Amino acid sequence: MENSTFKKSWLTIGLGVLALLVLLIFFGVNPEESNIFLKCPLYQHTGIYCSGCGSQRAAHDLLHGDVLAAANHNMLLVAVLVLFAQHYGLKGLQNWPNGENGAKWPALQKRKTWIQHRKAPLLIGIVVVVYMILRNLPFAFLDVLRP
Amino acid sequence: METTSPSGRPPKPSNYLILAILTTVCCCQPTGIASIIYAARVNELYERGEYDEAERASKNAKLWGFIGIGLSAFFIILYLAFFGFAIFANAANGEFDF
Repeated sequence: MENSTFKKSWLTIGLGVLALLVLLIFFGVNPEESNIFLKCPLYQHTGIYCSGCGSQRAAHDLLHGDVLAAANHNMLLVAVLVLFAQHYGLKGLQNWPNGENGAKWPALQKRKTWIQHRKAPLLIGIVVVVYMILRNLPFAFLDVLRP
Repeated sequence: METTSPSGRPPKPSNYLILAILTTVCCCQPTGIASIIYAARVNELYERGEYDEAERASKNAKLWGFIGIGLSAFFIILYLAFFGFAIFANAANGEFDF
């Protein structure tokens, strides 16, 4: 038991350091001007934008605080980060002892986050597929969706 | 499965939706979508009371999510193996200005 928690904490630290490094690279290097980033193989070979296309540029924009530019490159990434923030924010509050003898917010215990909602996977799946289709349709008014 | 809630239902298996979303948006869309579909099936089957099926769908959701991340990691490592040297050479020449 002890050994596995030991391994797990090292895994967490390793992943954390890796994530910090990646964030640092995305902060320091603009994917639009640099060619060090791996491009999506699907886009390179077929020219199709998938739902993740533009997320590297969006990550760079977000790290510089430019939410609008990020949404221009990939709206889905911004929306997903909002979802995650709500999820982990609420989870954190639910585990936060605020009362006497470490009682946790009783009013929040029953609340479900958006991601935990029963229809959430279905809805997210539909949104992802529709988003991908829309950004590939050849209409000028859909240009806002393209990265 | 020993711990049943007061209503007599086994605990709901995780649907790994966060993993699925991360895979879809950041790494590998096809396996990410497969993972999202399995996540939807976990919820659906659990509501219908087919707990074993839900458990299996949960395992599949996890599997496809990690396949996507593994594939991306594999390609990134391959990419770095081929072009990493050139990138670090550029960095040494001062192309990066952090």
